[in-house]
Amino acid sequence: MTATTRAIHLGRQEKPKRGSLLLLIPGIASVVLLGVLPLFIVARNSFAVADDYGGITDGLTFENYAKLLDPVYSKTLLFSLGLGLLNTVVCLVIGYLTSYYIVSRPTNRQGFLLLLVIIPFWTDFLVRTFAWITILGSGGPIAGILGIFGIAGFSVIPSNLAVVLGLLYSFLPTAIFPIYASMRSIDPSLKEAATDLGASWWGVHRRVILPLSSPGILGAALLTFIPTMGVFVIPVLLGGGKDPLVGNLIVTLYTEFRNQPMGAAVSMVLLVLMLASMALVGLALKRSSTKRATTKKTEA
Amino acid sequence: MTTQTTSAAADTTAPTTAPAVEIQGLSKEFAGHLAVHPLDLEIRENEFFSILGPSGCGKTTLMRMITGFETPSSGRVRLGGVDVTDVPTRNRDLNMLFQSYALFPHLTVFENVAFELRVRRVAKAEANRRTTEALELVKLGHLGDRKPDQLSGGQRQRVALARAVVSGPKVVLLDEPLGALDQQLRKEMQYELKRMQREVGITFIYVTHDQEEALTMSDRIAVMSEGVVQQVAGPEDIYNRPETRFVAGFIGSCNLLDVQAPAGAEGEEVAVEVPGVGALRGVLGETVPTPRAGTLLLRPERIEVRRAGEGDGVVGVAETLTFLGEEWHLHLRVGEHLLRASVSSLVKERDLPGLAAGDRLSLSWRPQDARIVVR
Repeated sequence: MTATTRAIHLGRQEKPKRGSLLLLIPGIASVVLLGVLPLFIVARNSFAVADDYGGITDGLTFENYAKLLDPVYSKTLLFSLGLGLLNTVVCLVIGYLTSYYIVSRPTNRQGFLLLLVIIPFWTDFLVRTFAWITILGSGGPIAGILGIFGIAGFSVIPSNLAVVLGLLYSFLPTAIFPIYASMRSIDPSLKEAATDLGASWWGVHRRVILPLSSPGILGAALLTFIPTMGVFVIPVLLGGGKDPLVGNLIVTLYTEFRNQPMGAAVSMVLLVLMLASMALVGLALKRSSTKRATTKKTEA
Repeated sequence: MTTQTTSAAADTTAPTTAPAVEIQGLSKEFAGHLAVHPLDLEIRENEFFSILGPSGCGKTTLMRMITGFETPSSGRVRLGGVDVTDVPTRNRDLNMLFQSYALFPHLTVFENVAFELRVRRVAKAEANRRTTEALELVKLGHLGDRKPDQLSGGQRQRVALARAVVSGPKVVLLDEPLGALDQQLRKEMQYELKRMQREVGITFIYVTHDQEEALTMSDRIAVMSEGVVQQVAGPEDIYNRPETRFVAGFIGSCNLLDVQAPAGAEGEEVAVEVPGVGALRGVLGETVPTPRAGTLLLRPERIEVRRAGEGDGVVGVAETLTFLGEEWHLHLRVGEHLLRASVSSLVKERDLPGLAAGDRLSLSWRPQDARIVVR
C-alpha cells in the first residue's frame, strides 16, 4: 500500500471502536503468549549461564555464541547448511519438472496427479520415515531384489544417502505445490507463442516458463530450505545420528546435555538463518519485478 | 469441388511460384470424431485468405495443423512448395497471432517484439533495428518500454502483430484476433490489418466466425462447416453465388426454400414447384445429373416488392415491418412460408407509401438471383 492510499484508507475510517479492540484481544493474546513471549525467553536464555542441574542462572554472557565457533558445533551448522541447500536444489529441480508435467496434462487429470502428491503428504511424518527404513533397510524389497542377484547384506541404512533420500521425499510436495500454483496461472498459449517464435524446449523454459514461475520457485525454495535445517527425526532414523543437523543439535543440547542456554543460542542462530534466507528470497522477488524495466531502458 | 477448380486456376495464373500454403488431404480425428474431414486447399502468395465458419467447424484445428501445434491424422502441408508436415512448429516459416495475443507479461513491448530475433540469434544491432521498424509499422515506436499490462487492448493487438511479422515469415496466421475488441476498434483494426498486410507483403491466413470481417478484408474466403470446406471463393462470389445451403445461410441473410431440383446444367434457367407458393423461376447453381432434393436460395435484397396486382410475381402478405435506418426488413407470408425481403428506405418511401402490416404485395426477382443448389 502506498502512503497516499493508506492515508485515504485511514481518513475514511473512524476511530477504532472499543468493541473492535475487544475482539482483537484473543488474537493478540495468543500471538503474545504463544509466539512473542517464548521467543523472548529463548532469546534471553541464549545469553544466560547454565547451572549444574539443567537450570538457568541469571547472567549476561556471549559465551554461548562464542562456543558455537567450536568445530563440534560449526561443523554441524555447515553440514546442515550444505544438506539444506542440496535438498532444496534437488527438490526444486524435481519439483519444477513434476509441476510442469502436471500442468501440461488435461485439467481433469491434474487433480488426480496432485492427489498422488498430496496423499503421502497427509501421512504422518514419522510413519513415512519408518516406511523408508523398511524400503531401504536390510530386510527391504531393494535388499531382496539384490539378494536374488547374489548381492547379500545390502542396506543403505544408516547413511547420509538415506538421509538425503528421506529429506527429498519429505519435502518434494512442499516444493511442488507453490511451483504448480504459479505455473498453472501461466497462459498455455504463451508456451505455444514461444515455440511458434522459434524457441526450443529449453528456450521456452529459460525465456518464458522459468521467469514466470519464479515467484513459486522462490517460495518453494523457502518452504524447503528452512524446514530442512530444523529436521531432527530423519537424520536419527535414516542416518543413524552420525551427522546431526541443527535440529538434532538443539534437541540434544536441551534434552541430553541439559544445557538450555546453548540450545537457545543454536535456536537463535537457526532463526537468524531462516530470517536471512527469507530476506534473500524477498529481495530476489522484488528484483525480478523491477529488473526488467531497468534493463529495458539501458537497451533502448 | 471448388478446390479443384481453384487449384487449376492457380496453376495457369502463377505457374512459376509455389503457393504460400498447399494442403492435400489434410484431416484430423479426435477420439473417433472427424474434426476436419480430408481437404485440399491452396493459399496463394501475398493473399489475405480467410477461413470462416461457426465455432466448432474445425477452422481452429485446421489452423493449428498448419502451424504444427496439431499433428494431422492424414494429409500433407506444404509451405512455399516445401513439405513441412513433419517439421516442428519452431522450424516452420510462419507465425501466429493468438486470440489472447499471448504477449509475454514479464517482457516489455520491445522485448516481446524482439523475441524471435533473439531466439534465432540475429545480431543485436540488426535485431534492434528490425524490432524498431516493426514497432513503427504498428505505430507503437514510443511504447517500447511498457509492459503488456500497461497497454490497451488495441495496443496489445498491435504488439502481437509486430511480433508476428518482425522476422518476415512466409505466412502469418491470425486466430480471431479482433474478437476481444469493441465494435469501433474492430472496424479500425480491420482496415489497419489489411493495410499492414499489403505493406509487409506477407500471406495472411485469417480465422474468424465473423462473416462481415471475412467479406470486407479477404481476397478469398474458405467457408467451413462441420469439418468440411463448403466453398472457396472471393467475397463477392461467396455472397452472390453460394454453392451450398450452408454458405447461403451463414453469410448474410438468405431465404432458403426446400425444392425438388430438376436435372440440368449449371446456370440453366429452370422453374421449380414450391408447395403452397407455386412455380418459382431460378437458375441451377451447379450441374444436376438427376433430379434430387435441393434448396432455392434467395437474398432478401434481391426481391422486388410491389403492390399486389401490378405484376405477375408471387403474392405475399406483409406480417411485420422493421425499420433499420437505411432499409426496411419485411416478413412476408407466402402460403405456409415466411419470406424475408428488404427494401431500401428510398424505395419504400417512393414506391410503397403507407405500407402497413396486412398489405398484399407482389414479389419478383431476376431468375439469376434465385439459385438452386443440391448441397
